[in-house]
Amino acid sequence: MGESLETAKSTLERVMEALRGSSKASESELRDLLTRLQAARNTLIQNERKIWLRTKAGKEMLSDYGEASLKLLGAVESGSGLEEALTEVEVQAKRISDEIRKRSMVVT
Amino acid sequence: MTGGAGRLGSEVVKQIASRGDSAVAFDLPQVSWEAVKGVSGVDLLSGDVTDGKQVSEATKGVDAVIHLAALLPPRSESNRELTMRVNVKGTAKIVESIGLTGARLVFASSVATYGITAIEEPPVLTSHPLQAHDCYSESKIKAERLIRDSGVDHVTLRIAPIAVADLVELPETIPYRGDQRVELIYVEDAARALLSALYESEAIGKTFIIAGGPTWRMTGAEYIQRFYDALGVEVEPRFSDEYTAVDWYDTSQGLFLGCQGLNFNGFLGMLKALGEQLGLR
Repeated sequence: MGESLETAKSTLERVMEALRGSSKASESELRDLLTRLQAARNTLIQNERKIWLRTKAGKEMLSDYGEASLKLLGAVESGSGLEEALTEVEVQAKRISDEIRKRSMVVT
Repeated sequence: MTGGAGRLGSEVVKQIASRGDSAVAFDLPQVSWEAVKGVSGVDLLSGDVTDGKQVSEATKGVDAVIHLAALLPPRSESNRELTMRVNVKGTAKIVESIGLTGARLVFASSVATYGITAIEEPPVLTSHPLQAHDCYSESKIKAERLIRDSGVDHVTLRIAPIAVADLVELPETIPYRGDQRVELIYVEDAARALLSALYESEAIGKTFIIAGGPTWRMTGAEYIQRFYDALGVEVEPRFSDEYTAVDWYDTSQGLFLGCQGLNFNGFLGMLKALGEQLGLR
């Protein structure tokens, strides 16, 4: 789990670097994209110690997240399909945070 | 059934449906309704217990109300006004509606109403004085009182913390000390007690403690250790530095409500099976 999590985190880091070096987006567009990316990356950082990510299903979610991150990197590098690829990363991030949020302790 | 989409509420709703009775699950529109969607005999109604009109609509024609909806810790402690509005005024709206229909009310209160009892001799008896120590316990004590004073047919259950045989993420701080006495209750047993309170005429007008019983009595550290060991997960829990409102309880008066169906070893067995299924063991 640790390896795929670290890979996904570093892929997003590479995406951010690639975006910063891109001349195609305006300053405000770039700021918006980086904010969205950071939010998706924070989901991983905040949840990296959660038990769910050690389960079979959690590992699969992590792998889907990693795959979406790689596609995003490809989209940034090729300059096409960026919005679609970023949305997919956000969807995968939300899947993870939703699943973990459901698993809090119950009190009465 | 207020709070009908929640973890305990949805369990009660399913048990009502499995008896062949019909129910209305009432809960906030923004909560997840996944657990009760498609349960036969159950109508889903979204609304807010603080809205008198919506409560009247929800209670129209019902024989009884199980009132679970409440703001719970830790959220209850960040906004006292909201906690009182939901937990006390919301209960008042239910009581007003019930008063008009003659339906019975089963109220889910909490063992938190007994306050911090850790330095006393166990077990905590039903007759133990109530002591508010936070917004949540204050709200539950006030709600109990207004129900009692209203004259409606009611049963009050002071329920222990709920245990679910599911993967539960370790919170940043476990809400009790490691060396503190704790006694939880399995969610389906708590649901069964709420349901029995609805049907048993012997229960009317009374208050019961609902907790897991002798096999569930241990320290906080022991509970956490055994829970995560059974799941197959190594954890490093951080326990509360302060004693909190959980203890061992005298549950003898409420045994007829069938609240102690699953002993703790049975619960651990379910967790082990789950751990294997999830690939944790």
